[in-house]
Amino acid sequence: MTRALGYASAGLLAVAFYGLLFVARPDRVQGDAARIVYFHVPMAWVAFLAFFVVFGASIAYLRTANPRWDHLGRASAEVGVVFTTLVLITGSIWGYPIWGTWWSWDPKLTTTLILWFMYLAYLMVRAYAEPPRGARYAAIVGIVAFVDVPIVYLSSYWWRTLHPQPVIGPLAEQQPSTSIVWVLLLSLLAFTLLYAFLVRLRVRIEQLSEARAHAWA
Amino acid sequence: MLGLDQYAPFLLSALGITIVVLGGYGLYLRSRLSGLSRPQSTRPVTPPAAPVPSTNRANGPSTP
Repeated sequence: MTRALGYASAGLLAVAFYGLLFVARPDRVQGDAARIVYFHVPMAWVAFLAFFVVFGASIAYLRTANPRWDHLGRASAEVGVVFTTLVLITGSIWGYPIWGTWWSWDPKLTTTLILWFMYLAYLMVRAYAEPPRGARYAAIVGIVAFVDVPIVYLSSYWWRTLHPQPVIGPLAEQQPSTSIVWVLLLSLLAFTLLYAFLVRLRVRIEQLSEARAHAWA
Repeated sequence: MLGLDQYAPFLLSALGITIVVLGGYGLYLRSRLSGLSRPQSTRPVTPPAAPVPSTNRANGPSTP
């Protein structure tokens, strides 16, 4: 199953990258820089999904104390942080030619940076606190940190921002062309499969590490 | 179709960084997993050898 996920995500990512480079048309104003949106936006969505999984797994762990939920939460947080890092980097690379600056203390960017720091804190708590207590503390951080996810999403409505409005979804102001939607959806599917693949690998590592620690004890 | 306008280097560097980071992270996880999947060594732990008493060189080499 994990191997099939890996191959499927790699294949779909190749198709999505081909689509964004050779099928989608360059934007009239932003030129080729607009193509960054085809992987920047899906990675942001996958990061939100990852943190939603951390939120759910944290609640489940606090209710049941089953280590399976802790493994899932930790794995999803780590993968989510990797995707959020890439969202910040690719957004910054898009911003330089379009805004004329690598970084702006814009509400969307600032709340995303805060999100990144909060899940980094989650991983630090999980790494340095003693196992049973660390898992509990991390679960609490995982629940509290999720509050920032809707704030990031809605920040462009709540405050004046440089960041573009959503291009797709219920809050999108105008409907994009069909080719934009298809390439974006394909990219979203590819990154979601990649997320599932990476989380499965990471959960397996957690399980094997724990089994090995018990064997040594 | 890729226009290769003045913004193309930004697009290609963003795409390159994304591929390198995700590919590198995937390979890192695979290598950790394969390290953990290897069977553990079951060789019994041998007790440390008893220390050999050193000759007292202060009195010089022993002569027959």
